[in-house]
Amino acid sequence: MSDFEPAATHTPSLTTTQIGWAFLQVGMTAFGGLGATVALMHKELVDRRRVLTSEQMTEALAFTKPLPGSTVVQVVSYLGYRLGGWYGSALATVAFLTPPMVSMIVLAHFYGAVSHLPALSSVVNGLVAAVVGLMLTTTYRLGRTSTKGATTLAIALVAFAVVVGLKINAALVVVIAGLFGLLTLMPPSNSTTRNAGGE
Amino acid sequence: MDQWVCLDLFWRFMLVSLVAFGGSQSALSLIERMAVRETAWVSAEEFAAALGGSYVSPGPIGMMAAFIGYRVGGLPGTIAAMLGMFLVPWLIAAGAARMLQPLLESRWLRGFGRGAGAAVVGLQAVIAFDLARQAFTSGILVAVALIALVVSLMTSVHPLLILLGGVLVGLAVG
Repeated sequence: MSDFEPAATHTPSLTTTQIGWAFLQVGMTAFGGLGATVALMHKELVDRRRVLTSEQMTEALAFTKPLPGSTVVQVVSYLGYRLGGWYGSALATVAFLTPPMVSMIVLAHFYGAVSHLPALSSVVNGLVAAVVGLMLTTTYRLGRTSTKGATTLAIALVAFAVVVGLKINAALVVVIAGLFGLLTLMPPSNSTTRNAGGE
Repeated sequence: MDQWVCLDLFWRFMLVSLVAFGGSQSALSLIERMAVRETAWVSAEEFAAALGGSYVSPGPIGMMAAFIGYRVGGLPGTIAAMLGMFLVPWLIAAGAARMLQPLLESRWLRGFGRGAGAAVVGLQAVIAFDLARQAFTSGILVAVALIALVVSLMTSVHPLLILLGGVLVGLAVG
């Protein structure tokens, strides 16, 4: 699959200004939570600018999900580090957080005036419904790279089932799936490719 | 408002961020207990407004920290609460990226990443499922989700336009 082709198709990494600008843009448009924001970053950094791969997006999600803190911000911090080290990470995180912070300050400032607008819940309903559609697309795109074999597909389905059905903590599920992967999906020791996502 | 309030904001939000395993959503009840019941920083209504605000603003639910910080201590309060909420998680995430970088070629980590990555796909579906359960209050909203799915899958329309479309339909149907 083209997502796994070597980095030859990638342009060299972003300049500092480009990192800041890219994540400022993502921060301005990061409505609708983690799933929608991952969809945005996928579009901006994987599809359009081609500085990251779909595999790196999954990697960022997989490794930051078990950590304490807001996962969406940590995905930004993680990808920022991949793009520009500590400085890139700090810049990406601050750039990403600035637009929502301004928005929240404005809302807090005018809280008394807007708190009883009935339109708010209609806006949220429509927004969340659209987010559901976007999230399913992201799930499909990430799934195409991360669940290519029977074992990985089974892990994804079981993860879905135990979190929905048994209400098991999502971070714990990621760690257990990782340990299971360590036992069953570890590539052979002579493998040199980094491309496989399943068996 | 004085510097002690800012210090308190920073400190308490930092403690919350440390136990927010799996995302700030999981810290929501803790933030409520801390900001409404323990400190009375905000009223229950303000807390609900902060939560609503975090849904209609970009960024994660943890952005509530900015709202609460501002209500308590203006701009300095906002900065203090934001630093508390996001500083340590940033250090941890960037630190993880740094530590993992040389290890990414290791068979062990790749095995772990394959299993964990597959679980992440399932969890993305869980978030969609949970949102669908709370959002699908009418057939029109189900249609919005389906159209959003098809458009984002088949075309390269910007995700923001799709969200905007959803908002407009939501407003139109009330």
